[in-house]
Amino acid sequence: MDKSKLRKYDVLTSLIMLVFGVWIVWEAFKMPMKDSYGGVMNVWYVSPALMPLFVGFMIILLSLIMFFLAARSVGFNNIFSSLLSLLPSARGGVWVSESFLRFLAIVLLLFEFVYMFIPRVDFFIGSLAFLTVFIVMFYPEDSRVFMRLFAFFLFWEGFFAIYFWLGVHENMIAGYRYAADYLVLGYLIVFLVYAAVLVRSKAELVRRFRISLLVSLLTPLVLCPIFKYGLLVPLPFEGVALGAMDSVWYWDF
Amino acid sequence: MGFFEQFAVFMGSIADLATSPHAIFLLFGSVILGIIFGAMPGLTATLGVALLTTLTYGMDKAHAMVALMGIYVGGVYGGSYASILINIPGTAAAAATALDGYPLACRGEGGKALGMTTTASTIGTLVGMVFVVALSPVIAAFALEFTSWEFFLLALFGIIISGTLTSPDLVVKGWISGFIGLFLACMGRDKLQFFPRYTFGFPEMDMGIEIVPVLIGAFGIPQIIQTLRGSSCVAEAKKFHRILPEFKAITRNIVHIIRSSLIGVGIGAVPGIGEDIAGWVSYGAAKNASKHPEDFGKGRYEAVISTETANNSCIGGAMITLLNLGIPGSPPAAMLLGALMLHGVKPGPMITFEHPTFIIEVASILLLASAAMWICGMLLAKQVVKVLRIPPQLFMPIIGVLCIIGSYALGLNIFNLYLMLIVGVVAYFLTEMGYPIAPLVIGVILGPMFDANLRRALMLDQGSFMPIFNRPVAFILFFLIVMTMLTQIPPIRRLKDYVVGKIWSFLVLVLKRWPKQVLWGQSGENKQNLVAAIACALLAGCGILAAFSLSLALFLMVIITAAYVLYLQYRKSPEHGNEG
Repeated sequence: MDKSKLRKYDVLTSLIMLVFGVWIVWEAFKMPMKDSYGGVMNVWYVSPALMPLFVGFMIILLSLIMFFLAARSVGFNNIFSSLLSLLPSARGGVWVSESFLRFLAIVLLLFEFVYMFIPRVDFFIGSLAFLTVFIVMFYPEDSRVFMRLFAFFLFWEGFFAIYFWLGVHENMIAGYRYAADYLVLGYLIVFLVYAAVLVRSKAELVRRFRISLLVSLLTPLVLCPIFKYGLLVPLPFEGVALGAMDSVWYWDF
Repeated sequence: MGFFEQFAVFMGSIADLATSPHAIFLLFGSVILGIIFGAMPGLTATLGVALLTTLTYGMDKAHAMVALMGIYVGGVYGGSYASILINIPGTAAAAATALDGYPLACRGEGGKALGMTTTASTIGTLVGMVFVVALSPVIAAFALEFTSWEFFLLALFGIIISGTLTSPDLVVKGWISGFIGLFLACMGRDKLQFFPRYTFGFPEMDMGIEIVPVLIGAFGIPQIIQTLRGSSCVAEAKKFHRILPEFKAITRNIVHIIRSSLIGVGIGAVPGIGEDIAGWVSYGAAKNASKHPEDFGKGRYEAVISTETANNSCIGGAMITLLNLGIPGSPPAAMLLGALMLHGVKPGPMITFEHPTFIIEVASILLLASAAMWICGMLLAKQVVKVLRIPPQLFMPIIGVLCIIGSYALGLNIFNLYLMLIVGVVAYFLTEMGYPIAPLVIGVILGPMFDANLRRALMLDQGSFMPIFNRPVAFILFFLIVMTMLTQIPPIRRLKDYVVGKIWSFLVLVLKRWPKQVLWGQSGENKQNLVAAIACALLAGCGILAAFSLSLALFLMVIITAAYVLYLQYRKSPEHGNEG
């Protein structure tokens, strides 16, 4: 990022830091400063608020310095206009650039995996779905494929958000414990079929699609046994696939 | 322990490890893994150490250290492959290597350059090891005299100096980053009164945030986003043939190797700075010392040797402060600190009492790791180059899964994952806005030391700050903190540069024509320089005094404001009347 643009962002980030510092100090004032707490009579230097207050005041002081430096660089009269220039409408819709969408896709993929799949879906299936969608979306390096797969992924992201966070999942697992595993497997199959349709026209894309599938499958196949049987780490959620893996590992037929 | 006893432990440790197939397998495996992590653009030594920490959880302390030191040494060295062969630094530490390494590879001398950097890296690591052994007892003995004030100021100094030197943009951003790290360290119940601070009502936050998931998030997630956000293509590596360097070529560059080793160790010992700064400083020093500085950037062997020696000797420097003071000298060392704590080793001045042979064992592992690095570098260079062809779109998602399972496996706590991801995304935004991440990490690590020692020191001295001025080390640290902050203010910095420049030019003159011509000679210019230098010295004295007073006022203002508010509350309380 060039310096002049960075300074405009500095105005914004210094204000965010200032609010953050004020919040730290505000919360610190709620801590015991004068009362007896846990059998300890407080004097100011024993108070648990001492370090937060120091940190909060330092962040306020430093963000003020940064605000001053950034404001001097963009011009004190132009502070408001420079903040406005950061809005998407003033930047020709840069929020929907491919770079931003790629960023959004990575963050949403990670959020989906960590906040939705990890606590509720079999780790093998969850990581397989995460890797497959991630690699198939990014590895072809084709804008058209990326955009379409991202739109498809967004639709399913919304579906999973409703399913997991609005109580549907709890009702489903009351009937069958591993319902989410099959749902994610279904999503994965539909995604792969759609991706295969998108890439079939170019040989190079088909080659990359195959490699993506191979890598996505091999990684959890190697990682899960290493952590589960090698390092004896129980995986976050063990469902259909890890149950089957247990059966093979312990020859439990 | 006496010298011979230490030497016996050192040799015994080497013999134990060298004769254990398990240890040898681990050593070579982790060094190769480190080289791969270093070589692949987007992966770093820090990330390598972070991810391997999870796998060492079930190992004993010695084997875990073999694996972690192996990947650390290999990771720092591995960055040179991508720098030299594809002109993309594999790690930030090898960025300076690319300037002259790639032109050498374009001339068809890539193999020779790799051979030279491999040998230089090995020598650098060995020099670092010698300093670990030589300086550790001195620093540990010195640190044992420290009181809570010194530890508090040392933690603050670590954060400030790290923020100052690692900030790519405004220095203030580095400091803010450090204080955000300190804030993260505040979270959880405080150790003295068990009062919950910034826990948001989550019981999982009561014990504070775990260091390793935060470190994995702070280093791993931004790396994944940065690498994949822009479209990238795989560069074709330059071909090379002979790797083994000639002995003469090494002896010809021995001065550069020695100078760069010392620079690396020195910079490594400064908290939170790391191998990349060591590489750049060493490159600059080599250029300044060269008879042909104009050829730098066009393919000079001394340039690549200097940077690679410095970044590897930095490992030794970082280990000195890590082991003896508990303050990591570089980001991978910060990760190593988390790993050591997992294995029940608490670095700090007491380490020589709690684990008397530990530092010697670390030195022996460094020796073996540098040997393994040289062997792997010489034998596997052509194979390692093949990994440069793997596109980041394939391995970065796998790194994402490793970050997630690694963060989970350390505490079997899903909450760590939630935390890791939030820290990672915030760290990415901070990086994009020019805030360095190293001070944040140093802040998280040194936060508990900062908090506990500040409050303990104030309790012992009944709320008085005077011991800072009574104790020499505390005063020096305080002075350094204040001067580091003050010299960032442009007029003070200009004054400092002017004064230092004048004194330096006078000293150079004195050394060249000492003493007759300078002090009593007829040259008017010399007399003017002498007068200017004396005036500058006086001015510097006054300037430092004025700056010091100003900074003292600023620094105390922050603490006293906080303290005064607390004091007022305390005076109003009914308990105060009962006590009085």
